[in-house]
Amino acid sequence: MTTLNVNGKSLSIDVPDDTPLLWALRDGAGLTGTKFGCGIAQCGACTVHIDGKPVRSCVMPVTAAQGKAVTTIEGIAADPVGHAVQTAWRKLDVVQCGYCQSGQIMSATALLKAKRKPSDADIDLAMSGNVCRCATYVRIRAAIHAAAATLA
Amino acid sequence: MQTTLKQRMALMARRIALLDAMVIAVLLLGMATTSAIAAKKQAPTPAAAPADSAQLFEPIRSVIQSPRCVNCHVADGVPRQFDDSRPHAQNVHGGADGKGVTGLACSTCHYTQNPAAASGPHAPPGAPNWHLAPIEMVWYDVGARDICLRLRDPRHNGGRDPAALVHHFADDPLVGWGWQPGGARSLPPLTRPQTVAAVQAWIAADMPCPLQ
Repeated sequence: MTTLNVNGKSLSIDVPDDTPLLWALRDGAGLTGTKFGCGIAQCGACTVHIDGKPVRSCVMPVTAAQGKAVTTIEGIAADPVGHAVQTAWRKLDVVQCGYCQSGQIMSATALLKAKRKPSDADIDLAMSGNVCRCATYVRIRAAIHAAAATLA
Repeated sequence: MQTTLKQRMALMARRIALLDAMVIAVLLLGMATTSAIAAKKQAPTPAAAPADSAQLFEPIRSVIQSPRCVNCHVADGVPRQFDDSRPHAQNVHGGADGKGVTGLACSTCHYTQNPAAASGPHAPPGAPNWHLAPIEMVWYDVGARDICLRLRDPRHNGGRDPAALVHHFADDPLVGWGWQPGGARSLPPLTRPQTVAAVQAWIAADMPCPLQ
């Protein structure tokens, strides 16, 4: 039994120790907003925050998250930056198919928490690990700028 | 009081001279700054070293220029991958401190240990303190003599004296990952104990370097 702090709540999850955090969240905790994309940290769909920093949950063992604050897409709106990002996402209608977008929002939030006024280059570098098959990259970048403007 | 034409001409001449001096100073400062940046990016001025007639450095070179080591000792801030040392996928950069850029640190994907075998042979490997080597310690696409001279010089080997160099090869967890890379990754041509022994033999011979 693994105990995790997810979105401010303590959860006991019955999974083997080497289970990737992603599957502990999806199958163990029922938090299915975090997506499985590639399973080898190549696409970013599974991005969650550990102590406020982005990580790819598909290759991180669940035991590595014990004792730390895990934030998923279900809990990111409680963060003012996360809320601003989600608001900008809706306002600019960023999403197309949507599959990658929870990971995109988690990465965008992490960037804005670390850098409130990122340049285009900052955004391109920070978001380069999040792949979008619908190629919504232009709207993603615009939405990050829009969120940054509301946080200024 | 009115100034004469001669006085005005003299004042103008002094102003022009002052302007010239300022322009020259700015140019010189710019040249000095450019030179300093260039010096930081380019290879260090080679220091003298004993000739390596016994080829004691070659075993060390063969290890540190193997993909598991050299892929993170790069000059352009772009990590390399696989045995052909291709640039890291996803346009990854090491950033100012070699630990990634704002919002995409190396630790986003590389944890403190290799992933479970179930993740397959190409999931991101991991070790403590995953980061690129400082630019002074570039080994990728550099000749054997240059690497040897860098390794001898504390200004270009991370400030390490001979004992610290041995410690780097023998005990550093991130260096040790090179011999336990996980997945299907190739290993350096020598084992870690063999490498440490080679470094010790090289140091005992006063760190000789090949001629090129």
